Amino acid sequence: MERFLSGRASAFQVLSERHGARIYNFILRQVRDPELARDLVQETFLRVVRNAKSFKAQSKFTTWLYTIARNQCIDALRRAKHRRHVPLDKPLSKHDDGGATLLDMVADDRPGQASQARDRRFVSALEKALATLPDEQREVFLMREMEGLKFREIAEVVGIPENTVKSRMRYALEALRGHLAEFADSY
Amino acid sequence: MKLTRQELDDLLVDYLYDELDDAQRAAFESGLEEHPELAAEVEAHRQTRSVAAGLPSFALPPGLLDGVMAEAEHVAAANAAAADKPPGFFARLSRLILQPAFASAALAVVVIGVGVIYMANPPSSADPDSQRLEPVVATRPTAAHTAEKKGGAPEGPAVANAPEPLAEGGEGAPLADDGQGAAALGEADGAAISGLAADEVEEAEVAPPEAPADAPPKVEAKETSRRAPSHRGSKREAPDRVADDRPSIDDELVAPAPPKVADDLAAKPAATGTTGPGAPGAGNLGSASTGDTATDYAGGGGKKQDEARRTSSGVGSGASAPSPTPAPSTNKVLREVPIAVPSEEDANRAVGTKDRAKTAPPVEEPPPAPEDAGPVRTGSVETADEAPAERAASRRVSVERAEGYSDDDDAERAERERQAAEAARVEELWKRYDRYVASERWSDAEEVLDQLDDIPSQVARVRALRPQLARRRAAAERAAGEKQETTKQPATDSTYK
Repeated sequence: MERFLSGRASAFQVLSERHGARIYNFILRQVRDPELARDLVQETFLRVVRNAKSFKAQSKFTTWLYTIARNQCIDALRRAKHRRHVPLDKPLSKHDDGGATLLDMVADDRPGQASQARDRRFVSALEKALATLPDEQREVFLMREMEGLKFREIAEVVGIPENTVKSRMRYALEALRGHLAEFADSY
Repeated sequence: MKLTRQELDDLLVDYLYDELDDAQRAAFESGLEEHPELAAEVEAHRQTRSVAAGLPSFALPPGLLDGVMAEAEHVAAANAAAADKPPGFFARLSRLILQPAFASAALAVVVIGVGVIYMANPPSSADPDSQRLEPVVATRPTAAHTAEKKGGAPEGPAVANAPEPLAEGGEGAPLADDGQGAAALGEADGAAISGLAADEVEEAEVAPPEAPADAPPKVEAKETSRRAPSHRGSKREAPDRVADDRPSIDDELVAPAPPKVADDLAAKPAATGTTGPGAPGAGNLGSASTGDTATDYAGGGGKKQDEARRTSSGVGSGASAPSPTPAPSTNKVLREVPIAVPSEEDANRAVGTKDRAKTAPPVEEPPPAPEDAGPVRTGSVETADEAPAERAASRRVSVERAEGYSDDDDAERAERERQAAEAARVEELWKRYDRYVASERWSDAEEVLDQLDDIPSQVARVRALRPQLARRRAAAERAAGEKQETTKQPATDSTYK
């Protein structure tokens, strides 16, 4: 970030490649709208570029970036009047029921056709379980499991005490366990 | 460390995500052995986490951030331009001001500036004259008391008290407020300097009068009276300090009351012979200070005489001037001057007198008193109990010292002493004459005139005054006779008829 502030555009290229996909997944699972998620990702990084001078070096860039992304998600959901939880297995096209879904976009490097079929079922169940989580539990779960933020950093992003973050995490795990019980023995 | 169940519940998530330290982890694991249900829950969460780890990750759509990258390049270029651009004036100024070296330099400049201003314009308290005067202020009352108690010379420096007689003319001031005083001063020129130190006289003798001849006598007198105290006790005074007209602390101490300064102004023209009706310096003297007042004495009544006397007591200070400071204290100081024994320190200070004498204006010898001068107007009645001889002598000495008289000849000194004593006697006689006339004690007044007639310098004046006294006595007796006639007339009441 300091290099970008000093006038090197390539520094921002590195930042976008490092955090772009994570931010996109976080936003997509929050808003459950791929098109809106893309717009929000662009808006998030634009804000990073335009507000780079307001970034304080003593804070972590990841924390600052997720704070912006989370605020973008909240504003978008408020504008939509309600939070739409779109299943990831919903066809991307409204007129194509048998077409590709969001799960088709998932990068799966595990080999084997049989396992791929089983995984698709598992992932579909996992996405449904995530969709049932409350927003505050889901965002904590995503930032901790998917993005690897520590509870202290999550508390800083969300703006709540660390113990509250842990409580939300525990509730999220208990809820997911109920939804994914059938897959517990498989993994 | 053994944990309770509640503590184990609180640490469960931290244990799952490995955010406990070794001690906490060991304590938690020991607690799991004691609570199997908690251990089962932990295991279930681990399985859930392992399942969630299989959650797929979506790839970022290609080209999604191209527009953002273009914006980032633009901003980066702007940042680079801003970094290369030299800072503005105010930016550099603020950066400079915030440096400690600049603050130190600014502080040094301020300190030096204040010092220069202070040196250029020293405050009045730092005046060398004022500082030099402080011991004089401290010793003056002591010297006065010493002289009053012992009747001898004070031990204080005689020169330090020298200016006192100069400003003393406010009380009575026969030297200034009448022609007799002027005449006496003129006669005493070059005569006795009874109390002046010999070395001081010598140094004063060297002093050449350099003042311009065309300078008004009034101004000369003023400057002389101010130069004397400013030079007192200092032989290293700068000449420009002498010419300073600003009233210094010396002036205020020497002449504590305004009338003294005015009297001093009046005394000088009298000494130079310019005082008289219509003379330049006569305006300050008042009407009673000239010989014209003889007619007032002759034709006026008792009230008029009293009024004239009151006026004469304020001579020199003008009609509206307040009465001077109490006479006794000043007179005591005056008596100290002639008999002060000069010490070595005084001799050193006398050098200042020499300098002062060099700057003193030339003093013309006052002409003798006119023959047709009016009756001698003496000072206030309040000072009548003072020793006139000592006062006159000390006053003359001080005037001579201030004006640079220089004669250490014993004969002349003795002559001066004699004339001073005579002048004092004359003054005392004229005071008595005033009192008798005011109280219409005509015989006593004539007796005083007889005594004055024995003094050669007063003969002409006494002869001119005798007819006036006779007319006044006759008028008073006539008025008294008419009053007696009126009281002898019988009452004329119509009811008796």
